[in-house]
Amino acid sequence: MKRFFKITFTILFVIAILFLLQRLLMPKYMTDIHEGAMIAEYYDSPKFHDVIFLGDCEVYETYSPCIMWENYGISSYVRGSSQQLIWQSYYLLEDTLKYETPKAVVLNVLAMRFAEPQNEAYNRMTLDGMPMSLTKLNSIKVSMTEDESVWEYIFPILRYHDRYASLSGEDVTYMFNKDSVTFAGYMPFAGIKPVGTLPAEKPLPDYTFGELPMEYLQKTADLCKANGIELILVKAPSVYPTWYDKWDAQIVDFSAQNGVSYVSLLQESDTIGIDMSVDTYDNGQHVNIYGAEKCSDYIGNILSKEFDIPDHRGEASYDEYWGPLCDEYHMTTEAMWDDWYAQNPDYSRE
Amino acid sequence: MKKNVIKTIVAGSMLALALTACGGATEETKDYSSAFTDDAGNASAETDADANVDAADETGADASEDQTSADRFAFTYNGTKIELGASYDDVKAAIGDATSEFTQNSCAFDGCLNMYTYGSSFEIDETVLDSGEAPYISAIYLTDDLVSTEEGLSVFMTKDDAVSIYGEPDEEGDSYIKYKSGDSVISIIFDDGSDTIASICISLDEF
Repeated sequence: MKRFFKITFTILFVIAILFLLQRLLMPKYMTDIHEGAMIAEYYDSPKFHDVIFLGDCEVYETYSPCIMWENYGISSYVRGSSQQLIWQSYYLLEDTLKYETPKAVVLNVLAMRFAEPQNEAYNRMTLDGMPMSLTKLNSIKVSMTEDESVWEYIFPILRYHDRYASLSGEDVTYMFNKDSVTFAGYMPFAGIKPVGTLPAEKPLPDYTFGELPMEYLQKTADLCKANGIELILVKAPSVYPTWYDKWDAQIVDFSAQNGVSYVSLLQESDTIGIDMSVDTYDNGQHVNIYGAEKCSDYIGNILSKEFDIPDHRGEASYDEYWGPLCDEYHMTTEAMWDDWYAQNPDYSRE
Repeated sequence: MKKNVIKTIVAGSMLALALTACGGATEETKDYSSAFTDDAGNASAETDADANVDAADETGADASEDQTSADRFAFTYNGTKIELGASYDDVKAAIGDATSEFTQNSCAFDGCLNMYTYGSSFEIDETVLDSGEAPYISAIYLTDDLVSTEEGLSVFMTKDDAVSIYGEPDEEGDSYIKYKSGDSVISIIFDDGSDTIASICISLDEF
């Protein structure tokens, strides 16, 4: 009996040590590359979202849930991540449905251009933040590049063990608890860098979307349909990388064939009031806070008017969450602009 | 009993330390490819020593260092040979400033792709790693018939011209052909439904 306890104690002790080491060694994304912390943040939010946004940087930098809340009373969350691939968006939706069933899902289509897994660094930023489940395993399997191993995702210590040489105070401080890096999934960027001369549009050998993204776009549409969710495909107003007309036509065709909506904010830039001389911080590749707030109001209006997403303003449980979050959002974004304008005196604040 | 507890703790700690130390900071592990992609959705070739993901992932050499440039396709402009893997600063010193420049930043990471356009004739792409390694030329696009490849192929020529110059392609699709040399590739793209060359891209193989 005594021997049994000894063995049990030893096993539990080793597991505990390994668990603590894993927590210590995994990247925290708190002081740098905040994008890596976004996916995990969702699980701490209240699960009363009527709209879930999915996609890459064109999602988490373009749609601000606080603006949609303040202007339309829409409760939404952005489950975006850097270079989120279409199959990863699908599995994030499947994962989300374990917690809540939104009325609408908004999916950005830029990632349709990726026909195959891209690279581990981005995979990690989307996959490591998900809790272990069959959904996560399936996402890992389809996302892995040639040199990756599923075991290194299941037991991240196998992947990160050699980070011990570069551990910093951040790794200890955020070992168990992390700060929030977004506002309901939206990551604000202050700064202005107008669009100049764009590189020439380069002809492609083939404009047809790959089989893998098409398969998962179809699966996403089917999953939404099966759960009574409106699927809305969107393209952000970014002017680079090139969004080819032939790509756009395929999205239009898919939308028509599947009875889903497609809103191209790129084509509607003028209507939205996007001015790429002030609404972008990186030559038109992403919108800044100004641009994001315009886009958020535009898509919020569509969600409210065309998809009947309810206005929850005045409902205590919603107000208690969104009120303080949006106050903090405005304080933070104002401070970001104050800093930026102070460092860029050539620009005057209107 | 106390001795056994201590033994257990020591054994557990040693196992943990062994696991932590295996591989070590100097071990060559996988490299992460670029944090940005070209228009075609292809990840570029450079390693991304993303300290936050894995500080020990220092493969050392980038694509430009491992290969000799002798086998690579190149492009000559006004007597200056522009080679893949070379420094753009050196090229610029010889051929002058670009007409326009554009930087494609990576999402989340610090690396970027600088695109230097020379009129309507050609574009030189420079990959900048966030590992601090020297930036290098990773692709050259020829976009009009004022310039041609070293072997004499230019935009608006035909597929037959390409085959007569380079031979049978290493890879062929409905609207493109590719030739490989060393770790470089020349991709020739045709106008829709025709054999007329619309674009020529000389790039490192992984690009």
